[in-house]
Amino acid sequence: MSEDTADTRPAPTAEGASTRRWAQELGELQNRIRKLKTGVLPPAAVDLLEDALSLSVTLLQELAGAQLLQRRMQADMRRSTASWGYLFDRVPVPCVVTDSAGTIISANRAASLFLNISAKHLVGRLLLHFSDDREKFGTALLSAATDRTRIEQVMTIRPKERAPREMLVVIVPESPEQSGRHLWFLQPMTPTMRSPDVLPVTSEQATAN
Amino acid sequence: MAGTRKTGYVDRLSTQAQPIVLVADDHEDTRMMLRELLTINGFVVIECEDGLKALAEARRTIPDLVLLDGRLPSLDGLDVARALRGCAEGVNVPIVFVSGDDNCTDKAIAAGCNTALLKPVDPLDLLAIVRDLSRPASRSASKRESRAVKDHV
Repeated sequence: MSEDTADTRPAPTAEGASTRRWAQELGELQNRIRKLKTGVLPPAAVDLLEDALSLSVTLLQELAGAQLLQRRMQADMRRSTASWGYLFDRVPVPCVVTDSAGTIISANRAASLFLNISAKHLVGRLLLHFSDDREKFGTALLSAATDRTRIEQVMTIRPKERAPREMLVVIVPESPEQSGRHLWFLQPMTPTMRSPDVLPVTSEQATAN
Repeated sequence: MAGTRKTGYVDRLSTQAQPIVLVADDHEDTRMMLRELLTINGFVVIECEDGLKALAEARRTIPDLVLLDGRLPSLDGLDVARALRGCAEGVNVPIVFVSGDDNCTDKAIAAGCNTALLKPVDPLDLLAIVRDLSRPASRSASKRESRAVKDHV
């Protein structure tokens, strides 16, 4: 994941250059029409030309405004993506992005440290290969993909050349536009955590029963 | 409320109430990442993707902290902060403003935010600030005041 921050200025575009050229040509036309006012054309014809020119200027201004808005939106998107990438890479929790089959697309620093493989070499591997609970892993992946819901599952994860660890694995499907991709967060289990299927009964539930 | 979601899974045996953080950001992946980061660290997260929803949700739930993105649809981050400071429920809620604008700090403070962070934000810095501003001592006092004002109104 890139650590660079994106240049947030709207980039010059071909549309922008073309708008500037049109504005320049309209300016030249306006000068020519003003010179015609000296008596070559009847006043009504000059008025008509000026009206047409004025309409063209208005249209051009609207076009330039729309282009500016579009460039700002693109710059916002680049900034958000860069910001997300930075956050993803530095978040102190092992985190990987996989495709629908569970193949790793990207991994953050914490995931690389935990799984004991560089982020670059994690890309293309099946996350399943690090799991001791392959059936549980497959069921959770299928569930997240079909229901498009966030899944929490306790699984045993085996980093390369290290002892296996019990982890709380959270699978989050990404937005529908990035269909099929999943974010995986691997969190070591702590003594105060319980898997969802062994949650303690609360006092309210006990009273109700 | 549509576009709003609560999550929380850690420390299920903990008897202490978990602080509630309202995350308002229109970038879904960023919300997702912040939600997991905060949830893993013991916060309950409420998510909103636009300014109006964030304002309504903040007034309804009185969170322990609002994490506000600068650019939001319908009502931008600064407007949300101003509106929140202008209503009884939001007077004491800590607001952390996050923006890509280099000059955001002064504007954010003037709008009533407690602090402003420049994107890209380091998650550890963010966590430290969220922990500090939502810590139980200050939280319960400000929350009591907000709720008292709300009840009074």
